[in-house]
Amino acid sequence: MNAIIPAPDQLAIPGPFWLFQVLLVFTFLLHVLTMNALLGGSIIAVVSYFRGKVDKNHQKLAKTIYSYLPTVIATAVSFGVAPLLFVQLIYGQFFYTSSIILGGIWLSVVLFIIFAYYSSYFMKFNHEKKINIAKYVSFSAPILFLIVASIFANNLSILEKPLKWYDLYFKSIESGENPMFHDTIIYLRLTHVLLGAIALTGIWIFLIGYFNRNKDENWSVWAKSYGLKIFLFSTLLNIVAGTLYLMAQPREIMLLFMGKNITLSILFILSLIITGFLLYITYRRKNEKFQKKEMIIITSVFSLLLLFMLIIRHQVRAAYLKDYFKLEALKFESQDGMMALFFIFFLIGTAVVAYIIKTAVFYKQKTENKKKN
Amino acid sequence: MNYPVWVTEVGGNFYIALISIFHVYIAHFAIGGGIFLVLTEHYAYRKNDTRLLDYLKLHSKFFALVTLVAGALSGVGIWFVVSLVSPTGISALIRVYVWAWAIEWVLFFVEIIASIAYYSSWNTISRKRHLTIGWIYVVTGILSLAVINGIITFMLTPGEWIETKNITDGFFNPTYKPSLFLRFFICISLAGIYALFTTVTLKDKETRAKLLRYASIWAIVGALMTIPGFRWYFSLLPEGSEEMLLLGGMPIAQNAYDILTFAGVLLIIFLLVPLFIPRKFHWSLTILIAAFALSVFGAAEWIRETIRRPYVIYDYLYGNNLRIDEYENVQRKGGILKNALWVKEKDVLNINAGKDIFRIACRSCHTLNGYNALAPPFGKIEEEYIYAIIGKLKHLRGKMPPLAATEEEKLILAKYLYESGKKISQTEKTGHEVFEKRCTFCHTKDKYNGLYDSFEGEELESIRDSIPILDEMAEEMVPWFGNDDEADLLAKYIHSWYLEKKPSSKKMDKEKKIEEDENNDDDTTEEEESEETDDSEDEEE
Repeated sequence: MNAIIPAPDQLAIPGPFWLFQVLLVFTFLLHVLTMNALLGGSIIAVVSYFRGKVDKNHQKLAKTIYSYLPTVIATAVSFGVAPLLFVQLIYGQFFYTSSIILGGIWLSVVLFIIFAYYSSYFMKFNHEKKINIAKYVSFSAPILFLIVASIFANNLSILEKPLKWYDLYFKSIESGENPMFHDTIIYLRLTHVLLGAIALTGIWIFLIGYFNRNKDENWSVWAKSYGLKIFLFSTLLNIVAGTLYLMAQPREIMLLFMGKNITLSILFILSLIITGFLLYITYRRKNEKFQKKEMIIITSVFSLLLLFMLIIRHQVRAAYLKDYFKLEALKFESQDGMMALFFIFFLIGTAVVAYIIKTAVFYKQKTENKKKN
Repeated sequence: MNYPVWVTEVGGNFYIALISIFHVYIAHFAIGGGIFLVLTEHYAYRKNDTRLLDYLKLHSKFFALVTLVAGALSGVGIWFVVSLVSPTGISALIRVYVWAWAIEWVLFFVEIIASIAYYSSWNTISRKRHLTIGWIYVVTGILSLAVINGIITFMLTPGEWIETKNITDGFFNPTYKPSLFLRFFICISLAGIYALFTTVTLKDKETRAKLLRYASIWAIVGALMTIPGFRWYFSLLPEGSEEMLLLGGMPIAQNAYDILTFAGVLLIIFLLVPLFIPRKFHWSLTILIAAFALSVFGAAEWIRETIRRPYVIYDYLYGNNLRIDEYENVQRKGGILKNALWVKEKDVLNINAGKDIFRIACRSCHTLNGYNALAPPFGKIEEEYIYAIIGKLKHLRGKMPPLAATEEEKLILAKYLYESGKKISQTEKTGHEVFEKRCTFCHTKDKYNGLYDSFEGEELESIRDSIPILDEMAEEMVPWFGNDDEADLLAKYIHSWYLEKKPSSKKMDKEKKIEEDENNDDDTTEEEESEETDDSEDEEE
């Protein structure tokens, strides 16, 4: 049978299509950076929390990650709001349908994040105290975030498969069949994302080590090397997972990477080259001291890789929805004044955030240094 | 019709109300609490009051933990649940206001960063810088209220937008200003109420008493200022809202209104304790006060949600995700089953078609056994009666959208609802029970669609005789489906009203007086005559 696609909203989209696509990918990049840090960070933190009972380095790492985690969660949530807004604006007819198919499961995401958030605050304040309960609470954030990640992976996978909607929907409302993981490919998707999150956390730990080089040199060297090791192993595993994920795609999607779609193929090859480069550099230099220049290269090349991945992801989604998404069915009527107002707010907002961070973080360091002297 | 319908036995609208109430209870504190912190911080510096500063450090941590996590996430939660219950509604709001939402997002982000920086940098940065961060938080907080207020009020009173489709018309709509005024003072009041939570934990008796008094002033002033706010807001609501609210046209809204007034009075009374006898203030009273505040402000949100019925966006989109302009199209083009996308049973004679129609047309607001449940009332009555009611939805209490169904679809829906009803085979023993079963879908005794005046002055026999033939007397009435015993009981019950004292609903008298004045422009007809004209006009309507 044919796919049922709800008609897109009759009201006009108040700006050019390309702009919303750019905003979607850009804000999603911000979200991915922070969201992966919280997912991977909450997992690595538990490992270090337990290993920290015998290992001072891990103890300090757990302390550091726990002190950052609530803020990372807050940022990830705020950065997540924007792509969720833009995806609803341009892909509403797909997104609402897949969300409704998940129904209550989709709604539960909010509750899980609230619990995970509070548990990470709990760990921030209590991980060093000898409270028995902390042992158990430490597991809640990674488990809950993993559940949240899998719900998101499921929603976005359902979104890409309109042909399955009818069955999934009626089976779920009539016989209560669970629409989660209706396709094994979602497990691969989740594994790919999870390993990516751990790799990103590796880079994050490397950066934490780098920025602490003057405070505690021994620990800094350890953290940098530990972070890069995490990155190295998770990325090696992810090459396997990614290949499996690619091979599990339908033939017509896989062919896009093999030359059928030039942009996608180039991006794919570039990503592989960048990954190879990163693996090489981290393997060769994982035990050495890093110059500022090298730190910047690793971080920016990694960010570029992430951006490529997101563009690929966006293109693949477009390919999945090719037969169902009709641009000519959308109306466009630009609200120029409002658009300008948004960019003004965006610029001022960014400047204000920069001011706050500068004041609260760097000014704080200055006073700390003064106290030391 | 366009989207699948989320099937939840608890009720989608119930979830919306629950999450929204939880959210606004924290979100208003997030704004008011910021103002409270910064102004109090100024005061503490001026008086060089270190105890007060210590308190503010404690309170700001509590503030951040509550607002950053539960406040921010429940806001996202509203968004999630609304997109499940009303995808067409949220889609319209995003299409029209995407730039406003995007601005809101920027403000939200700045707020979060400022809030984290504020509570964590008390001891590490200069007082001046700390206050600057506090003021950034306050300003972005108020701005974010100003933005979201435009979107929320748009849903209830879209004003000129319906004609012009101009974003400014929709945003600065008729209730924009009163709602902003009202919400601002809810923020102030909640700032004081939440401050009680941290104040009661203070060990130093003197500081505790001083701060309890201070917090209660915020709470009381804010709460009192909401009264003119409510009145201003109510005066600009769509026509008919007031009778929905006060006269029982919308039973849920009326209940919420009663809770609002009752809990409001208790709130003020209990807030006098920390104001006048702070030393006697026990921590348990904080819970009680917080519960009253939750009831007041929660009821206000509930009212706002319910008086908007049958619309999600007033005069544009019905609660069941059908646009007004789509409604006639659907009817003309063969009804619900032919036009809806997510249909399982296309054969209108099959009972499963009734299930589909119920899901598509009714499920957005009703459930079978959960919130706004249909099984309990429909379990008591006949299938024909249900069918008759379905045909007269616009006369029902509770503001229903019209049903875009064909006659056959109405029949199968009635059959489905009848079979899904909780069968209770009891015979009604009292006239009041019969009244509940046979009349209250549309009528009340003496308020909304009140029957008191209709039967006034009639003998028992005449009431009894008219019951089975009411549908012949008025076009909007459904036929009588009860038996003779029920008619006897009902007639006696109605007749008993006039043996009691006449109900004195001030509201009714006032309204009637206005109506009379309008009818008797210059004629000096006698009072009785004018009342008769009123009645007959009512019936004609």
